[in-house]
Amino acid sequence: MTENNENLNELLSRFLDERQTHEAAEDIRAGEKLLASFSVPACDQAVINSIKEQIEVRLEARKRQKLASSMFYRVAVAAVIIVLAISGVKFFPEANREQATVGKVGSGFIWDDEIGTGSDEQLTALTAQIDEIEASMLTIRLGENGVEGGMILTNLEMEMSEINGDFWKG
Amino acid sequence: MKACQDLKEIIAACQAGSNDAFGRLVDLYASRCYSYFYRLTGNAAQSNDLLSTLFLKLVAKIGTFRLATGSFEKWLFTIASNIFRDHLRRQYRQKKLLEGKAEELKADTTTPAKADVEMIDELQVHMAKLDAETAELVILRFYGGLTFRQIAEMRSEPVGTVLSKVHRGLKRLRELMGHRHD
Repeated sequence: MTENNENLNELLSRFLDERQTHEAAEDIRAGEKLLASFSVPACDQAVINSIKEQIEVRLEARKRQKLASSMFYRVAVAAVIIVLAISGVKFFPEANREQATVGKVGSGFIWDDEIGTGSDEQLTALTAQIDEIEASMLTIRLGENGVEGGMILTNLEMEMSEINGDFWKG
Repeated sequence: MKACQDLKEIIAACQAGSNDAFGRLVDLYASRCYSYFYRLTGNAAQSNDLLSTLFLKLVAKIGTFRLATGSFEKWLFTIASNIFRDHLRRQYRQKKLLEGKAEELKADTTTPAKADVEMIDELQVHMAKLDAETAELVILRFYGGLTFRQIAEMRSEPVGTVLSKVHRGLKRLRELMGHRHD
């Protein structure tokens, strides 16, 4: 019955002296011999077959569950991608438009103040310069050029105020 | 070594969800596990139920077994031992529930010694006289086929303690049975 091929004497000798080891090993062997003389009725083959059938049912159920959860996961991922794509299309152009509007309002404000104080050509040239500087400042503020923006920003602001000053001087 | 490799392959296939591999595992261990349950309960019907529970639990838990480092038999009999303890707890609750009821209901409670009298042999009667822990250690060693080291690891006890308990248990059994089988 036992398949435990352990060296009993070697194991016992770690804890007992030679005589005790021998005695204990004999006791254990005799005890196991006694147990072996009483057979256990064999497990009914019908029970074993029933266990195998139950296992098969469980495995099938698990496979179905796995498939269902995998499908659910794929659908969920697809849904998230679609939502992101739709929101990308819907919101990002609006954000661009908003930036553009802010730029134009700024220019428009300066333009309104300057109506009637200079020639059309001067105004057009100045507005173009100011727009260009504004765009540069915006880029630097947003840090999109990846350069330390503080110094450049100051220079651009000075340049802008100089242009404005020139304009008022005529 | 070959058998060990085969077992690893079977377990790996079980972990991958192979029905055939589970079938082979049942064929390999059903007899030993049934003997273990039978000697603990002394009841064939209960042993069959416990055996079914064990293998169905195995299906649910096989993924948690670490193939590279673990001893499968130790792991299997740890689950079997836990199932038996759950069974004892259920029996205890059932007995408590029935205690207040009629005498005929009391007679139906399934204590191992009364449940299946025709199947209980002399060994079973004397085994019941050992303390429960020692009896289980002896059964794990002899019917489960575990080594002393495996039992010690399973019970988180020093191997010397397990050796001593099994030795005393077997000696006591022989005394109880009057050395008639020497």
